[in-house]
Amino acid sequence: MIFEGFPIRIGWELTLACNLRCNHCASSAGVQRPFELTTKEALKICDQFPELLVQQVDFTGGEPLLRPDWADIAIHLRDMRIATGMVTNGLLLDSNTIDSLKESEMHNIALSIDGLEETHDIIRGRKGAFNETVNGIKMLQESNFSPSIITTVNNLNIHELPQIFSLLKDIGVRSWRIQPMMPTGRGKGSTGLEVNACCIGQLVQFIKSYGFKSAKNSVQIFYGDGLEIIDESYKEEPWGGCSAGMSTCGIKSDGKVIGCLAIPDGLVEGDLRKRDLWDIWFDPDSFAYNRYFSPDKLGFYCKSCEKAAECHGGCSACSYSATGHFHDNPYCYYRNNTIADNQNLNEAYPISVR
Amino acid sequence: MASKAATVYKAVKKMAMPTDEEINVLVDYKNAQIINIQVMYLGPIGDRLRVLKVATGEDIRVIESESFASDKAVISARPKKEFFQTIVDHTNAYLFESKEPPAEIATAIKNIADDHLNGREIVIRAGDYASIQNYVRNKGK
Repeated sequence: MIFEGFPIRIGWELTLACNLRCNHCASSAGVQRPFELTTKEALKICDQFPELLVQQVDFTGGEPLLRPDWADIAIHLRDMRIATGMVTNGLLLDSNTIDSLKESEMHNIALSIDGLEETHDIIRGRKGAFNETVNGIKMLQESNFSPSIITTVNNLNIHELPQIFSLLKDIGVRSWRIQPMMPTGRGKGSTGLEVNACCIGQLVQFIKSYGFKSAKNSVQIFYGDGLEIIDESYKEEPWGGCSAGMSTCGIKSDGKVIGCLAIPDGLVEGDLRKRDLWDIWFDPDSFAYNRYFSPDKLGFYCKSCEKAAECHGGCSACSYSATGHFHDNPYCYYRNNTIADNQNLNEAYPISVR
Repeated sequence: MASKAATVYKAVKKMAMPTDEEINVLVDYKNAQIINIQVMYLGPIGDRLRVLKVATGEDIRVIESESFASDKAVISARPKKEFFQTIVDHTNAYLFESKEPPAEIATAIKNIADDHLNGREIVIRAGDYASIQNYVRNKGK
């Protein structure tokens, strides 16, 4: 029987080139990939989206604004009535760029803030990066955009979350996405940033204290990468696990298709230079780790969990990055949340790459 | 021998190609047999997609987002002309010429014909949509 899901939302790494070298970057971005898609190829790929019911495309990178034709691609999608979003570090925002964002009717622009000034600049590897990003946020706000903020949580910035919340509130940010750092890419070897069980426990406590109370007229907190499972709003509608290959997929800057851009490069499903997205998406062998999930595939960390039937072992990228297997997530917030004594978290559930 | 559908509903008008204004097709995720639309991993954070239960209470989820189609239960699509031509040709052939549709799209065409005969808005189920698109794509190869 044919798979009946569609890639409703696509993450598109426009380029791997980046003007920063962030210590936590899961993509190890910096230099562009060899043979990144040409403008003509990129626009041709866009033309395949309507049939696949694609409703939104989110540009990521690298730094997507480094790709000179990003606006051409966005405008092409706009003309097909496909919404676009962008994740940027904000350093290249100027009046011309903002005019292009307006013209392309960019639906959502997200910038990263990974700590207070000193911490952010350390993680981003550039002194002044924090102020440049805050300046970018203000420029966008002055142009009637309502940018969202993403914070990748790690051991270095976990203690600063309450202050970041206040900062965002002060500068008028309305939405804040919190996601844990993944042990992949440059993040894997970054000493001092490791996310251990205690860090996860603290993150859970923060969400309990702030997330559930975030009023609609204040900073609204959203969660990603498996954190959804502890969000109270999901009690009635449980998080259904990783959407890679079910309702989303990622396109790399060289045209390779993957379940999600955070999943390691070796797990690509196909190449858009060789096959149409339709054929890759509906290939019976594609995205097998999610499409053919069954409880017997749960790994060491998840197999005895009462929630596993709901979440299927959590975030695929986290799981695979940490253990080399899907459905085996040592970074589980639900598990950590259920352990009463956070002081003993590391002993009870040591996180290690097996 | 005329098909039952053709006999009973011979007064029904032939299906026509949609005009440009009508060229959206609705994919009914409520009735899709397999559906697994979840909160997105990479989505912008300002309009998180919400997961809802459908009114029937079945454990099937549909997607809702302000950026999506105004009808929250369906997703708007913009297939090419060949897609509609296939539907119109085979539905009319089934209803008025008693011609069985090709096996790959027989279920889809019969579901559409049923909607058409009963005067309902034609709502294409996700699986049927994929079947017809596959048929059109394979025909073109």
